[in-house]
Amino acid sequence: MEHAPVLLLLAPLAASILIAVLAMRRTGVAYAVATTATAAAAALSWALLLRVVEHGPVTYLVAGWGETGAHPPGLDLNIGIELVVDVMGGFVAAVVATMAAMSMVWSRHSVLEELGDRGPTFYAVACLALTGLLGMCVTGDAFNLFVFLEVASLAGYALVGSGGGRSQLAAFRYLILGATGASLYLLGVGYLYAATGTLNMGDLAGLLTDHPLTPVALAFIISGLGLKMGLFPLHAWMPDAYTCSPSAVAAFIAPVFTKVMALALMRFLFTIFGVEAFEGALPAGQIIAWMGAIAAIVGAGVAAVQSDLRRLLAWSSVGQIGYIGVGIGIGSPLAIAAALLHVMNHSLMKGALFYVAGSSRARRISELRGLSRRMPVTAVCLVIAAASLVGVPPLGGFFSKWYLLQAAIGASQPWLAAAVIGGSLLAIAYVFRILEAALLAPEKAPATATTSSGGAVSAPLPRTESPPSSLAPLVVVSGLIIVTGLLSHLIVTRWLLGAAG
Amino acid sequence: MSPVLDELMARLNYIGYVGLTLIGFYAMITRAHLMRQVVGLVIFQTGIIVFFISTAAKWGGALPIAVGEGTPAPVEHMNPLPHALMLTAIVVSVAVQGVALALLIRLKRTYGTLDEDELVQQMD
Repeated sequence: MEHAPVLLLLAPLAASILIAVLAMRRTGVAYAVATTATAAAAALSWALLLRVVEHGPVTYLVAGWGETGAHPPGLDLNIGIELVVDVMGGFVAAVVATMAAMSMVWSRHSVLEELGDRGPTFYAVACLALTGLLGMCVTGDAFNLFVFLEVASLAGYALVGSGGGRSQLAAFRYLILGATGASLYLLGVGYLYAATGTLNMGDLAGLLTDHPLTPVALAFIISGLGLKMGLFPLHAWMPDAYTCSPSAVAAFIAPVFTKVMALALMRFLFTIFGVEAFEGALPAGQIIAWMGAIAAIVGAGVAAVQSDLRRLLAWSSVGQIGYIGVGIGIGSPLAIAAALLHVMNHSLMKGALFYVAGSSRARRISELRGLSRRMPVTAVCLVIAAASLVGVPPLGGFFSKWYLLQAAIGASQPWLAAAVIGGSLLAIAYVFRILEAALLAPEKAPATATTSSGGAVSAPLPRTESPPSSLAPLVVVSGLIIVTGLLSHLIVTRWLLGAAG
Repeated sequence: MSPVLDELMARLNYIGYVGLTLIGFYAMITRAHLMRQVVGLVIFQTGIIVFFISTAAKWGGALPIAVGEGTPAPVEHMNPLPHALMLTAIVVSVAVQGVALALLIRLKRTYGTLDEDELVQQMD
């Protein structure tokens, strides 16, 4: 247990290497290894979180190298790479690991259908991505965060590009924008190092007040992490990446990637920069909050006019990440708790929606017709996830928006609150379209279900309910949406309100 | 020489870093050919590497190698840590180039062109 932080990272990494070495021809073996490893990582992450909530942050010096006190006198800075699990990082790590495990279990049939022989590659690269994401959550060193960021991002580019022709261009655009974002983050870290001489997050925290380089570093880090997070207007890679990639890939990356980038932003704003970020030369909080507010409206608005289901979900994600941005930007403890709660809720909701999109094989919203008849359990889960997205109590989505509104009003920002409400109203528009197609509209006869441009017709709605490996994760995630909704007050007061130290 | 020019000349590598970064950025956003966008990205990342290394240099600094008895005090060496960090960054840059080139190879094989406008036309 004392090595838990590093075991958390080793489990998916070892799985990735094992799959690459042993199982490149056998998708079944790769599936088993990947699901076991991600389940182990999820269990470890929850154990760590519960321990951190009880006893305070867990620190771990990788390889025991660089013990403080072993240096010459006057040099008290940490020189090794430290892993620090606090409530903020531990919570996001637990959410990410759990959703990754669910997506791995779900992916079985989708990988067999869409990726065929390249299935084991998907599992290996996805495990690598999970390593990078979990590493970002638990690291206590700014440059180490860059390394894990690039590990996760490169795996992400490869995953997005693993589909057909369009996905390769989508992956290329994602690569260009993502690599630019990571490089901007690196530049910010460079300014921080030039200013203080240390890269350890704990040490950086005390040394940055009133330093002239702080606004520059802050600007670069916000731009870089904003690009990776998909905060409007830095979201341009998201619609294509979510739409054109294989279903299993979208179901894997959509719930987790942007959330960890949001956590990295929170880590910098609250742990490292602290008050400087909000009252220093650069009003970072205001900027992020307003970007988030515009994202909430634009994301939901553009989603409302989409006819492609996955593109709609991508634009909806742009909007939801806007809410997280508003929470980060306001910066009060309640706002941070609301942002973290929304990280969890959005992960669950988008995960469930992408599972439904994948299981139903629907590319366009009109192809969802007849879902309630053919796949009733899937339809029920769709209703739960969609209702949570709009903000129907007592589901999770309602509570994160509720706390966000409370925080906005508490910080005397009525326009931000208005943007949150506006975004939810617009969300009703696109949610209604999905639910109408899935529940109410009569099924089209197969003869009329061809595309007008003569393009490839996607596979029709499956005749029966999904197989258990696809249905179980969807049901579990939908159940979690209900459970976390009911437990929101407990989660916020017991865990999240003290998250930003 | 004028004091402004003196200040500028003293910070020549930082001007170089800004120039490289902006050239790379310009190439990424204005070029339609995908390979040129990759080159722009690499120039952008190289500019950032030049920045880190510039912060590590010192006038009259000794090379950061211990030579036994005659080793100067630590503060008189050039800072080796940014160099080590940039080795990692170079490796990351190479990996990004690898993935980018792999995607370009597949795009070229599938569509026969690497011009972004033609690609978008062929895809729709």
